[in-house]
Amino acid sequence: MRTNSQKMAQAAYTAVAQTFDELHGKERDKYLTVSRGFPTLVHACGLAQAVAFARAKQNDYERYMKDLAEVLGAAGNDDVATVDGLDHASRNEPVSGYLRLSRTALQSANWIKRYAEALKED
Amino acid sequence: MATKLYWLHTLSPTHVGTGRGIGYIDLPVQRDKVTNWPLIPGSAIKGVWADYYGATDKKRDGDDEGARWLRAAFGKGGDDSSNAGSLIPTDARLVCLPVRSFRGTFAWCASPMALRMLHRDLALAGVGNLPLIPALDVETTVLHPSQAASALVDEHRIYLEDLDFTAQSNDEAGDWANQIAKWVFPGDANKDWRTAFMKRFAVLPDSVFDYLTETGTEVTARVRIDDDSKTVATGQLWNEESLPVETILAGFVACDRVYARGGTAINQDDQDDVLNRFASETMNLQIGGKATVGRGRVRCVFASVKG
Repeated sequence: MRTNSQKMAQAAYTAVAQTFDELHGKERDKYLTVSRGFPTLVHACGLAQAVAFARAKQNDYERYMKDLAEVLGAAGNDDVATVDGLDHASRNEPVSGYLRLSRTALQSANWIKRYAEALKED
Repeated sequence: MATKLYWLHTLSPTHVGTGRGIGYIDLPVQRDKVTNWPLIPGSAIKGVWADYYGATDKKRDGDDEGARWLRAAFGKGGDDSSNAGSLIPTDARLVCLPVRSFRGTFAWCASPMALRMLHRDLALAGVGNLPLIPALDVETTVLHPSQAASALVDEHRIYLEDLDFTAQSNDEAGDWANQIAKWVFPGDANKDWRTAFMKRFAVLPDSVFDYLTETGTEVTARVRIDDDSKTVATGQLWNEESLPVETILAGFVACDRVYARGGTAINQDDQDDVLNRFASETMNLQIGGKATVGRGRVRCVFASVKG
């Protein structure tokens, strides 16, 4: 059996490594900036607003949100394994589900940030 | 052992940190291991408390009466004549977290578990006639004092951060609000603040309180500017976490027997005297790090545990 942290870490590593294979130069830097800032955005504004903001800034956040949803899905949250699913859930979950989803999203975003910083020079 | 209750009320964001964090916050605040709620450790208070009373090494070394009291209260360093101080502050634990509210600007939020833990500590310290713990088992309801017109309620709803709740008035919540207001805002000069506290006190479901203690803290991005380019130096952006302004925490200060050189004990009468001298007047302290950017201004209010 693996812990949720292990599942998220594995998914985040795979997603970030794949992203950095495809993105280079300024696009990679932008992804790194977004991955550093998104958890703080969730902390300050709440998940629903952070997701809505990311969708509004689609070009900068599109790849990041896809990776975030994948990491959430890997931790057993099948209903939010896509960006549409995450967007829908962040708006419609009742309080208890919203709190849990916010916490899991913060943990997932944390793993993406760690691996984005670790792999940035590769 | 003589004991008093102390309350900390933050007047500016307060950062009592743990060093480097491994999460998205580079410099997180200290938290309780079990509840994960922020706390201010007794060790962060003791030094600034001694400083408030001017307990420098030189003053403690004197032969006068004042020096004797300072040594008894805050101890003395040195290899051959050192002693620990008799004043022992416990960690200050979170009681009320300020949370942004659609009505009333902000709410002072507690939870049944936070009040239950406070109740246990107060009872052990000898405080009697404590209010009952309000029952709250619905995750979508927030309690507000029935004894005051809540500033938070908007047509039977309370909106905190991005969370919506059903508002419910409650006698026990009012009893706690009244009691805490008297402790934190004592005297005629604070009468308006007692009223403001009563109107903004709220008891949240435990799970919501837990969540807000994680995400309701203040996180500030800071940078270092490169002298030449006048832009952010490479890698010099970091996030600092602070307890927000208006956070309220409680702890106890005990006065223990102290064995000075030669085995002389401070007797019970002296213990009460030490507390009366050093744990009576309200202190404005600077606690924790980042003082140069205005962090850590805190009111420290003492209260008796008797009656």
